[in-house]
Amino acid sequence: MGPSLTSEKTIREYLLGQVSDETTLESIEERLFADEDFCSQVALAEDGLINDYVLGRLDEIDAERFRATLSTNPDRRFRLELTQALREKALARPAATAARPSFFSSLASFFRQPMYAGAFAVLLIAAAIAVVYFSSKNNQDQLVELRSIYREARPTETRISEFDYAPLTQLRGAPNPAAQGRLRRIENNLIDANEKNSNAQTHHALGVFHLTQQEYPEAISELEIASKLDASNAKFHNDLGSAYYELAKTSPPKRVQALDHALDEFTRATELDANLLEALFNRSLTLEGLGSRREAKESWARYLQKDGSSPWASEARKHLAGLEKEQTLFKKDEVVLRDFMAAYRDQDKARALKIHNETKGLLTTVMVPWQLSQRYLTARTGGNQTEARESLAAMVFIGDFERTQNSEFFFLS
Amino acid sequence: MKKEVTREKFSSFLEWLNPDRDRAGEEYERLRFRLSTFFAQRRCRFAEELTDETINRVILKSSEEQIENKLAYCYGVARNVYRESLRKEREHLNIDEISIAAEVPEEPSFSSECLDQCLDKLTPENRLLLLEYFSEAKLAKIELHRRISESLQTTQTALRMRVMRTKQKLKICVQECMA
Repeated sequence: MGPSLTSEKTIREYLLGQVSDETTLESIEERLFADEDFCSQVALAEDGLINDYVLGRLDEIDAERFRATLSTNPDRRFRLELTQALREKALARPAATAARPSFFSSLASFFRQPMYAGAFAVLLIAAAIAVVYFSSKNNQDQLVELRSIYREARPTETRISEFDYAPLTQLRGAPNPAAQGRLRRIENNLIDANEKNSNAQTHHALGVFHLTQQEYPEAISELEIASKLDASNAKFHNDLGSAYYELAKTSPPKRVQALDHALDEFTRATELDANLLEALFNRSLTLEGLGSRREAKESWARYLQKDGSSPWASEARKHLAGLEKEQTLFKKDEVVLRDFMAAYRDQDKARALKIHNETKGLLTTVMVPWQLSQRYLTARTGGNQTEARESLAAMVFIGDFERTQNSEFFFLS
Repeated sequence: MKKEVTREKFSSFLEWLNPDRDRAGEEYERLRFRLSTFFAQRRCRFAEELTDETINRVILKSSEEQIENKLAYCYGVARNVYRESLRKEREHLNIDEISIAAEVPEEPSFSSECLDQCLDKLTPENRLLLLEYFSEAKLAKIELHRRISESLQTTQTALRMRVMRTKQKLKICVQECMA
């Protein structure tokens, strides 16, 4: 319910008196009074309606609905009069309006000649092809420029399709003030392209733009459309998943739901293209976010099989190492001791010391030397000489290691 | 005895909305917008009067009681006023005392002189912005608005907001001029 209430379409319907369902009406009203941003959105939408009416941009049905609201809304009527007066003033300004034959009369005489009509048809087809080609090229150009802006610092934790590696900075907008103007130009061009020739590519490009600006609901809205229009495009699903993932971080109550959505999209993307590294990376990140540690570890390991050397791989390794360490931290004391003793008995020195290193800084009962000393005392008290000796030997092993490697005498038995 | 809204009470109410005088004025306008939208979208015949009635009740209450959530309280009062207005309308439908509701009073016709005066009071940049924004035919509008937003180094949404705010200033000025 939440997101749909804030959509421009719902707000316009509300303002045109088209919301009659009491529950929806009350939800909108409550939000109007409780949420400053929503109130601004409603004010902006109402002003947009008035402007569109004056500029003749409403279709006949909406124009009629708009007129019907005026009798009960004197404030809107006053603002309408004001806008109409402004429009008249604007049109009355001196302009180059030399008399010339009307466009439609020129067109009619042109089509009366069959040869021109045929040639025009060919030109029309060529123009249509050119529009599709240039709009796609234009989108590509805008995305290339957008990527170049984020070459030094990336705007999202997730990987956006075809964006090169850059360290993460969660700054809003441009990474440097000089890029603000470029961002505005890109946004204008993408909005125009979408208004003039809306297709999967234009929606995707606009969605990616919103994603980089951390405008996640807008990004989701555009990327959902792109993914529906071209459901087999793995990159569209990846970027939609990214938008959900980033949204999850900003909205704790909807975190799990948004992460679930993100996981679905990344999984879909990897099904469509098993080598799409961005989606593999993002899927691992999401599994980690959802607390599926084992699956996340497997997923990071799979990622590293496909990408072992890029800077993204370094991040993947850090995640993997973090998960492994975390796994130790979450183990119960007796499990840590059991794992340590197993490694010690197998003379797997590296593994035993790894477990010791991971727990020694915690200064709780999980620490291996602490547990060994308890084990030693219990064994001595119970007359179990073998276990007591083994515990003591293991403590000596740790003490030697600390003394020789770290010049640390605290653990010396 | 019916309580009345005095100038002092209105001043206290503004301070209650926000201790900063300028911000209080903005919040008052915003509250009026919320209320008039609420009543208008509920198709109330006299949305402005009901807005005034709601604000008057809130003014009186706020001078007597501690109110925690101001806007939620205003919404609650608006709903009461709305329900009462529905009852009154039903009463009017009694055949024995049928009363034809008066036509919605026409706003005074738009004063061109006031508009000119108020346009002159805007900054040259804002005046030009409004006249440019409404200047061209609808087919050229997208291109025109893109050009304006580029020249102002702003996004299209920011441009729409700026146009709205400038029109709002103009509206207040024209209303004062006509009063």
